[in-house]
Amino acid sequence: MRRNFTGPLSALLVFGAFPVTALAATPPGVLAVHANATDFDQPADDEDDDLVIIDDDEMEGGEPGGDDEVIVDDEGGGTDDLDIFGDEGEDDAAAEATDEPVDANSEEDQIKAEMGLITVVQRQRMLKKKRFELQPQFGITVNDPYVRHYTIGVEMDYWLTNRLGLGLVGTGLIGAKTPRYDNIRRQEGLLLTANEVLWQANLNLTYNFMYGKIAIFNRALLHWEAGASIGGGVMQTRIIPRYESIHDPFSNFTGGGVVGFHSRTYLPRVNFLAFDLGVRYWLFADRLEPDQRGPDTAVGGVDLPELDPADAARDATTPTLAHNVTFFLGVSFFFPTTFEYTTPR
Amino acid sequence: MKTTRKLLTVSALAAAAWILGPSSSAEAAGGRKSVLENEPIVRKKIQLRKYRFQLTPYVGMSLSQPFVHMGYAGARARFDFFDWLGVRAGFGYGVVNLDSSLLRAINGGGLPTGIAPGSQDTSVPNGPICPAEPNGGAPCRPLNQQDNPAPLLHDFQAGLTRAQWQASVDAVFTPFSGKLGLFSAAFTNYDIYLFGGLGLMGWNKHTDESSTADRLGLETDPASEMYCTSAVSGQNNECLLHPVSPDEGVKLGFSFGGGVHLFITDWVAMNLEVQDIVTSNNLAGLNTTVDDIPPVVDRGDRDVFHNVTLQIGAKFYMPFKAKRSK
Repeated sequence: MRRNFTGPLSALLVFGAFPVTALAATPPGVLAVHANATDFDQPADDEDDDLVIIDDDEMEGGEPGGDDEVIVDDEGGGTDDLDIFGDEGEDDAAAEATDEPVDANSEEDQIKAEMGLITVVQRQRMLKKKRFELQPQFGITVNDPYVRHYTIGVEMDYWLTNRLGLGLVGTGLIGAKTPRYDNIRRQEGLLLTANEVLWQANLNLTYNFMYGKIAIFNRALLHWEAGASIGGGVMQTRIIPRYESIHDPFSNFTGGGVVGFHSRTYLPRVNFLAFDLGVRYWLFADRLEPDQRGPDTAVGGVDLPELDPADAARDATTPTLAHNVTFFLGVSFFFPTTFEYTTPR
Repeated sequence: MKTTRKLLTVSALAAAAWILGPSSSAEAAGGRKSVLENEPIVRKKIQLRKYRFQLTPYVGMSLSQPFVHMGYAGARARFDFFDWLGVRAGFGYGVVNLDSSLLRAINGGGLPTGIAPGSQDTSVPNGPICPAEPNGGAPCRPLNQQDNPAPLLHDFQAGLTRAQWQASVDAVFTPFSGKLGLFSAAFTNYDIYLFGGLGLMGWNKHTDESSTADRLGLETDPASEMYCTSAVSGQNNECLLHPVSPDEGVKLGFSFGGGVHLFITDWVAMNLEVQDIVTSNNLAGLNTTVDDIPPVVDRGDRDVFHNVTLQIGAKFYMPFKAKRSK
């Protein structure tokens, strides 16, 4: 598939399509070198149109010679922005750097050759297609002001394409009452009805729709990508009895849907490692402790003695919708630990 | 402690050297100096922040208030001395307040409302009449609720406060900037920033309710002989056991957070930010501690509270045109 853009739209796309380095500093000559390097047709006239050829496959890490070449016609020109070395006189020579034999003894020619090595659109840092990803995760829940969970989990993904993955997530949660829970009890004299989550497991589909590069103090570049996931799974929750000294808790197996958003950053030279940050939102059916489970079970009391046993109390509950929002950090390990680009550059 | 301090010092020096020193060299094969040596990663980089004044109208919402959720409208002004460092000041005023589900449950029967002044206690046969004092009196606790440790609803409401406004002065650190692509179709500049500084929170009472002590004009100083004692009805247990002191006013604290800018043009960006202003206050204005007899509301009843807000705004940069680096 070949997509052609011309006119102002193409100028806009070219402006937007370049990564930082290319956008800010790529001379027309270098653009031509890149075109040569990928064996595409050269634009006939650079004076009127700065024809930029973006190999989408190469950028995305796909197969060479595929159907996703994009030809962008930058009518805007804008050589001011594209003069990477500030000496436009060398541009044409640099453009031909890969066409002509380079005299290895000439420093000037070596410099030109190095300039020829600068690509317009860099390939994605990490290719994931047909690789497994193992991601230990550590997180914290943020939506419940009365019970905070610390989470330890692992996510296993198989990447069907470079952007689409199928994954299995397992998470254990350690819940604890927050100071706010105790404040409500002491100040308002109220006992809160709250549950803790014990574990979660879900299957999800992940799509990375965003990628970019970060310039850190203009000293280093890191590649990153972000995406979303959707899926469903099961979990176990457990009530926190209002009267813990006289009532046992009961647990509840339930299920629900989960959506997530995440971002990951790759290291410059390590082909099997990434650092992740994300948020996961569960919507699920939960069962809370019945209101009439309490100590006032004498004749005339407001509580029901038959709810004292945990099983009976669970049977008396009805499902209610509950939420769980977890922010997590993770470290991704990819297997096989290496990959190869299918295009030369 | 000394070791920690030394490690922090070394780390700070190393970070400064990395930031301020020349960039890493790109040595060519054969040991010859590369043309890229000591060059910045990005040449002619558009400097979207340096020496630019920025104004950001925003709307925000609270994320962590247990009783009253707040919606804010406000603005931030910022100036950057470098592309990675600037200062800013912001102010947001609460224009929307919504009762949380907990507060709705409390108001909807979670706390006893008491017997209206002049009415008879019907919770027990031949119950007493709640005295209507010359100033109107205050609700009384029914006899069958004497063991209930909860305050009466009007006392709780009299002490409840909400975060009416917030302000901060911060240093802003923007270590990350770049360009991102969305679905391989939309591309934009962005930056990610962190900030920290001084925060101010303005707390107001959430309702116009008065406490039992205020309604009856009772003395609330424990050292007083007339402490919580009415000339008409004697000692008042609500005043004695459930003292109320709304923690209103301006609270000083730490402000920190982070955000992201997505540039639409060189002078307009969408801004998403999470800010936390940490203050020490007593949201409900009631006694928390158990070691003071009689109970009093004092500084010991305050706890550290995170006032987290999610803010979204549009940022405008002046001058409109950004310069490029060398």
